[in-house]
Amino acid sequence: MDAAYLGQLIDEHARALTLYARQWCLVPEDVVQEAFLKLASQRTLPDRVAPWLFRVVRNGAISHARSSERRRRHEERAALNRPAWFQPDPDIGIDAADATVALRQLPEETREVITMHLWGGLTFAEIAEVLDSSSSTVHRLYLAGLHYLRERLGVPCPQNPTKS
Amino acid sequence: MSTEPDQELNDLARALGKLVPQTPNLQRDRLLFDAGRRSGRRIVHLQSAANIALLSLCVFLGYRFWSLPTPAREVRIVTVHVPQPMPIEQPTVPVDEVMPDIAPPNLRPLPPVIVGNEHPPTYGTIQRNIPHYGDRALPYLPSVEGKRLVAQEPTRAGSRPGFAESLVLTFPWR
Repeated sequence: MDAAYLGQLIDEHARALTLYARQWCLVPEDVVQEAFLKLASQRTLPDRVAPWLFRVVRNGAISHARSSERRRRHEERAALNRPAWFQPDPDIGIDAADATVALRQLPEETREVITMHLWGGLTFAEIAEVLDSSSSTVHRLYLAGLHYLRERLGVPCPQNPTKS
Repeated sequence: MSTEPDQELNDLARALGKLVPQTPNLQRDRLLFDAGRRSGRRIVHLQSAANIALLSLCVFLGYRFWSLPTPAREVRIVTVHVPQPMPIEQPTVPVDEVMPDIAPPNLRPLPPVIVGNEHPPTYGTIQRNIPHYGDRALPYLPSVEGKRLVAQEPTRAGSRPGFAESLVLTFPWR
């Protein structure tokens, strides 16, 4: 695998993958790094790299979350000083901490769909492939999650209505 | 009526999408280095597997070579027919024959006679001619008169002093 291409993939997907893995484990960087290393050691690249990476991160994060209690306590200590899931940006109109809390309160599968679609850029078909589900189910979960977030966060006022 | 909630949801999704996830503490260079090392390790594994396979093949072939039974030594008897040697005809030369003054026509020509300053026959030539021509092969004994050599009549065959004398005199004395 070309190092430049791998670097490009890291730049494009590392943030979303880390956010995605953060749902299960407190130190998601290890899982994301292992996913990239696994991708680099593949003899043939997967057809669609992004869904493959999300699937690997999902499996790794869930497996990591089920690991020993000692590691969990160590990760909790390491995560104490960790900021919210998002970088604060006052121009957006949504508080980063509130968004983090609202996302955490979502059901797990719904949160996965929201994360993969909004920040991972995956289509509903690709999300369905990762979750072994159907596109319609994924779309339904996505709408349900947005309704829940709207109730928690309120509809933000668009800063520049002309921009789409 | 149904488009308004959808619009609200789209605005919410657009606003949420603008939220930037926290920068992961990924060490990009370290990750690329580990990825390269892991991909290179696969090549090393392939080389090791090939080495082990070749070594196993060599051991197997060596075992087969040393465990092969030695073939029995074949003894072949070959009969060679050797032709009978042909009898050699011995020349019949009368020993006590007194050579006439004139050789008969059926005899072989006489060897060249050394007279005067001509080159005398060598000892080997005389030795080869003796069985065929008898004492006629001997050169004429020269007599020393002053410093000139004069040819004489051949001596009688079988006389030792004459033969010895002829050998001495025919030798190229200076």
